[in-house]
Amino acid sequence: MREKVILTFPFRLSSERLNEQTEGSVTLYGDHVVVTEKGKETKRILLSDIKEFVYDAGVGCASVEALTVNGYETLCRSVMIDAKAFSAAVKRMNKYLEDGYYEENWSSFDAVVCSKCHRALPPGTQTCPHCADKSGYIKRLLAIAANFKWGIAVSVVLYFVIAALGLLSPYLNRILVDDYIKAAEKPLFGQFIIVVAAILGTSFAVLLLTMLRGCVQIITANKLIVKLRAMIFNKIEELSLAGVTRRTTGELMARVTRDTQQLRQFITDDFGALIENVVTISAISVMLFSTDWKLAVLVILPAPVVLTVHRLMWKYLGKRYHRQFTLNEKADTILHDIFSGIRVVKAFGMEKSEEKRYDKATIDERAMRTSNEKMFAFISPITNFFMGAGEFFLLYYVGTKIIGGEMTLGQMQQFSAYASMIYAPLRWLAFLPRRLTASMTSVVKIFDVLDEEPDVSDAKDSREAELSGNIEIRDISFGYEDSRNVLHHVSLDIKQGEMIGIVGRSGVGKSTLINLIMRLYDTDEGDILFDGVSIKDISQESLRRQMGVVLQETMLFSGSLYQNIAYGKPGASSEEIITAAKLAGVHTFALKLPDGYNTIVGEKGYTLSGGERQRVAIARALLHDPRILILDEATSSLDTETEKNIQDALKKLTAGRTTIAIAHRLSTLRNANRLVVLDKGTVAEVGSHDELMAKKGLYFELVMAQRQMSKMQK
Amino acid sequence: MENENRITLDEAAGLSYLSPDMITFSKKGDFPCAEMADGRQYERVWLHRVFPFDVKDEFISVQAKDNEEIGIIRRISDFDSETAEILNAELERKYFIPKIKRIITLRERRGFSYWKIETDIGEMELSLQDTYRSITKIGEDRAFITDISGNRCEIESIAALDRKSQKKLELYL
Repeated sequence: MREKVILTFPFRLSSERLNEQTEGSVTLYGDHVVVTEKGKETKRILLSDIKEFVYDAGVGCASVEALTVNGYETLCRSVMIDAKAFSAAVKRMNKYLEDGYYEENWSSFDAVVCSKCHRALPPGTQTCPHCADKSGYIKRLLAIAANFKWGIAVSVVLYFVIAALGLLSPYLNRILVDDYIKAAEKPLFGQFIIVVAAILGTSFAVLLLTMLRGCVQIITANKLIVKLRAMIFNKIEELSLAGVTRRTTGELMARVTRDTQQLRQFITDDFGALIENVVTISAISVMLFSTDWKLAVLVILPAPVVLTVHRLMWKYLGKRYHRQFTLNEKADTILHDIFSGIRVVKAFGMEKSEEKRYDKATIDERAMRTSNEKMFAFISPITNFFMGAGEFFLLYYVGTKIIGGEMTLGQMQQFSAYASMIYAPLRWLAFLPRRLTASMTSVVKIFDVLDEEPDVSDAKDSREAELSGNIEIRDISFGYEDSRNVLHHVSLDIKQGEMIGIVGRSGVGKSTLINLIMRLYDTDEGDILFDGVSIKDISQESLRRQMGVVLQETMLFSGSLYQNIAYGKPGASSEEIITAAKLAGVHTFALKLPDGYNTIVGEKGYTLSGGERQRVAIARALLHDPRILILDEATSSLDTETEKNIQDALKKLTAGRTTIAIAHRLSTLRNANRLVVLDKGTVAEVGSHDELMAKKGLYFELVMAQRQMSKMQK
Repeated sequence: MENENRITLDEAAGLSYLSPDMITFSKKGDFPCAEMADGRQYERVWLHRVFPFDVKDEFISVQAKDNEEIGIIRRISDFDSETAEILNAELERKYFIPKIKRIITLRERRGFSYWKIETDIGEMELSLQDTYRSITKIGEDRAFITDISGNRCEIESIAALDRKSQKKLELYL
């Protein structure tokens, strides 16, 4: 047992010589811990000498320390790539130190670097942007596209036909010129008309088919984008709160809107255009070579040079345009800052200095823009001239052939028409890699979201449950993503109909406890039972439907007051809405508004005060008639008078319902049957107000501190 | 004269600047510990630069457990050399910010950029998401780079980098 390896983990910075890169590992054995660096043992401490392992986050580095009788000792230090493993290891080592508990797989940690290239993975994902396998994604993409195979097939066929028709018209032109206009003997007028009609017919057919293709494409594209957006949106909603909060709102928005758009463009536009261009290029090459291979070579030969020049030009300009774009964005950000903070700007009399700041940003951007446009105006005629230079040689060569009688005028026309038609598709193909990269970036990002496993998911046999309001919290521990547990071994029995007040200083885990009861996160250890059924066996949907929640931050959606109250119960009747509104104190202020319950609120509408918003949120929670009511600082921005009114209303309501309330203002909780005082993540005291006051513990201190405060305010 | 009764903002804020006669630092285990002139003892103190981008050895916040601030050291050089050594060593340990000497390669892949750099402590790799925002420019010539995992690097002088490195960097400044 003593030599048994409990866990081991690597580190990369020497603790012997500060800031030197190294390779080493820390290994926890049954009764001691050993640190090795470059194969040599550098430290060994007996576990009996260690009080606690500590994770210490530095800036740009992290360390693991041991608290011994001699103070804190550094075990190891590393760059940030190891930080997550360090904090997980500390958690595990402390668990072992505390009660000897360990698991066999403790030496494996969540991957933070790609297993192939060892580069850091973006937080919250398992796909490495550097070496994501393309072919796998393309297969899956095709599987999605297969849902729209008819639309895509029709548009591909149309691309094909339009390309072919486009090739027909130079051919008809040649016949027109050679056989009729420049004909040796006088041609038949009737046949002439037929050729002209054929030319007209082709153009008309191209016109009609292009219109048709456009329609088919738009219909398919829109169906596709709706499908893609629905897939991503559903996935995001399925993810736990942890999965969602790992990403920023902007990032999620980009996934749903920008990346799907990029993907749609690839599947419907680029894919078709690729076929059209490849068809055109090969058909023209065949025609050119069969007409005169020397001429054809003359046409094709400059192509690589021209394309290289073109790409180089765009590479250079692209960088400059990118810079212009970022400067523009910077100016926009400043503007956004100023407008949204206009009250502050004016209050501090900073108009002039803000004006200067914005001016500087726009001047920078203007300078870049002018320089870019000058550059473009200068470069593009030159490159265009050289790109067209091939045609001058062609003209010379073909001219001598016509003069020599080897070629007719019509043939020349046809030839130069084809020659000029080949460049556009070639140019398009030259940029294909760039388009592909942009699309692949979006593909990878989209699949990254689609592939994420929700960490809070319904068990296969989870069921609907009718909650009565009994909650048993059984020895739960929980921590967010760092080493520290927010809650340690918390147990609590809540009976149906009880009102429980949770109090404690900021950051002791009050909101976390509530998050766990709502199952926004899963507990690390222990379980929560509703009427004896584990929270993991109840479907999330049925669980939350029976809970009414009023959170500290009250979110109003854009829409009417009515819609905002009805949010959690879309089919609610008007009578139900009014009842809930009356209970929550919305009714009174709603009737003072000219549009009553139809008043538009939210970002673009009527601005409600903090207290009014909270009342709407309370009404929203009451509307479901919940078995369990959760109030997280629900009445904190109301004045004491209004709060009392709402509480009296709630008191009638809460009879028979379980209520869990968090409040800093302790008077809010005077109706509570029991108060739970949390301290440092554990339950410090439980009891009624009177019991806890008599005990003169933590609660007593909190009450005294608040009394002091309110005296001072008076 | 009427100002005499008015307390300063510093006093109101409960801010105290630590002078050598108020606090004595020594080492316990691998870390600094402190004893105040009024008898308070701290088993371990943590140091935090108040203006990490601006000054390295001035305005150092001295904290006890749970981020409780004991006071601020105005200048480390106000203390004797032995103490300064303890404090500087602790800062060196806490702030790991290698200085970039050269950018060896810089590649963009799918919105991320991968850097291979030569620093004062050897070669390192950085992975940046949203490159533009990961680089904080200080004044015209200095910059700090933070990567996905939280690693940090400093470019002390952009102008002093070689031409090739500057060109690679240019796009993101």
